[in-house]
Amino acid sequence: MSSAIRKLLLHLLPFVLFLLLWQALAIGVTHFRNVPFPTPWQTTDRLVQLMSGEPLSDALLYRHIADSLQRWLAGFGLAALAGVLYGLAAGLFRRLELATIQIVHLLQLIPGLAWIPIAILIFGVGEPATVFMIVMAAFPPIALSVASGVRHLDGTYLRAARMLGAGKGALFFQILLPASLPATVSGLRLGMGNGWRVLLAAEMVVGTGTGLGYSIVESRWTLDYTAAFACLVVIALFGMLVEYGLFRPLEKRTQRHFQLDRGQQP
Amino acid sequence: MISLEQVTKQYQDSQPVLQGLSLQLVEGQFACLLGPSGCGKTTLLNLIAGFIKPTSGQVLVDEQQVTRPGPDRGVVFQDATLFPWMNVLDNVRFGLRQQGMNQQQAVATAAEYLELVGMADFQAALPISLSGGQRQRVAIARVLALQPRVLLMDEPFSALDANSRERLQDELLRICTMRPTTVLYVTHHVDEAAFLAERVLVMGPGADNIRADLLLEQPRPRNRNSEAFNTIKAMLRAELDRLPCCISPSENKGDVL
Ligand SMILES: Nc1ncnc2c1ncn2[C@@H]1O[C@H](COP(=O)(O)OP(=O)(O)OP(=O)(O)O)[C@@H](O)[C@H]1O
Ligand SMILES: [Mg+2]
Repeated sequence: MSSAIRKLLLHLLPFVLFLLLWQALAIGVTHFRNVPFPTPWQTTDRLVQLMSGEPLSDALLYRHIADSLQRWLAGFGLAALAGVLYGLAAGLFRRLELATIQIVHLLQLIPGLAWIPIAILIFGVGEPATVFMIVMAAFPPIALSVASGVRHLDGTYLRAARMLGAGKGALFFQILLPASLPATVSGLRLGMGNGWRVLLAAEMVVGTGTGLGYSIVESRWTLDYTAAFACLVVIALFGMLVEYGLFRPLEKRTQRHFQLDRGQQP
Repeated sequence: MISLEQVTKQYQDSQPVLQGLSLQLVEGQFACLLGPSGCGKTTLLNLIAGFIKPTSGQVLVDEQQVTRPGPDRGVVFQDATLFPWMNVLDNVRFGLRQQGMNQQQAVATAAEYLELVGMADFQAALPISLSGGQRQRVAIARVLALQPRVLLMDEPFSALDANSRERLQDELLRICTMRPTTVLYVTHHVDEAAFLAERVLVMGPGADNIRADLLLEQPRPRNRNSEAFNTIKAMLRAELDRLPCCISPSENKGDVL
């Protein structure tokens, strides 16, 4: 067997194991508790049905996906913008960091669901509340990562740049920004994950009645648990797509480029 | 012309590292700063570079007091500190662009200096893909391209293997003979000083930092195997042997500009 195939199989192994565990759980629960627990196969079957146009909570699956993605993008985009800006500022200005960084640390400790009452109180039931929750989940890791990236920036780069005659603008745009890129990418990746995970909780407060998270919550009333599982699968798949398709390669790339002169010294 | 007048440097509350040090660099001369670890060689270099400020005394370039780093004092650090997100050409071009040189001219000049250090074929390479010696070549090119008044080098080849080190010493001499440059080169290798220097400043800790100021008359490049070369080495060693070998480091680093 060639090593490429062996490697592929090794990568697939966790998924196979996962499916086996799921299957075992489904059989066990169905047998002992006498409630139908969707198996991987039933879930896939239902997912195919939904994908071929069967409505779920009065809307197409694609509509749910699109709405969820849109909310997530809006929330994540806002969080990324605010997080990077705040992180840069806090990394550059020690006073600002001292005065405010504990708040961000605090925000990070608040679990996603806990934002529901706060979001509703501030924005009422609706889209803005959802986006707000995603922002609050995604912002802290981005802000903290960027701030620490800037703060722990290798001082020799700044020295070298100033020695070469760089002014403030060049120092910021050509040295500081690229040098803190690896930390920024890691932060964005964490924020992305947080935002995606809080989506379900966030959509519980949406009044519009669409979204993957919303559909999962709704299955409590319709008893269509298989569809809920299908939605979970879709959420997981999208998360993995962004993680492995976008952030992992990006992170690898930046870190590979930026690892210069580490472990090269005597 | 670069000169230091009665310079004292003290980090926080510890003993002063440099005390009342006066020194003049001679235009076009290759000077080596030789001394045991911890005696303040890097401190002296950083003062001239403008990375740190003297506690008292003055560092002057053309009668002007040094207040900050600048392209008239090119520094080659121990590890190359090339910007890893820029390719080789962009690294060299960076400084030129900061001087306000236009794009086309900067590219041409950068290419010229890369040629000079033997890195013409690596313009598009990223620093990470280069060997340590190649990186130092680029680091030399990027400061030479700015035509600095003085080239400050802090143990630039000490992280390299013995063979690359000697090759780069040869190259550096070749470049410095081709276009006369004022150099202050920090090292704690007797061999390196004996091979490169026209003038050797032997440095020790505490008061009277400059223990000896020697002119090496022998023409360069010197043959590393010759009797005369060994004589120089023996003389420098004798100077070093009068100094304590190690100086205990003081606490708290972090007093940078
Ligand atoms: N930023 C700093 N803060 C406090 N003390 C420092 C700082 N930099 C250097 N020192 C101390 O000053 C003394 C001289 O340091 P310096 O780096 O100039 O020595 P050096 O001659 O370059 O040594 P080496 O050959 O090991 O590089 C040392 O005792 C060192 O611990
Ligand atoms: Mg040193």
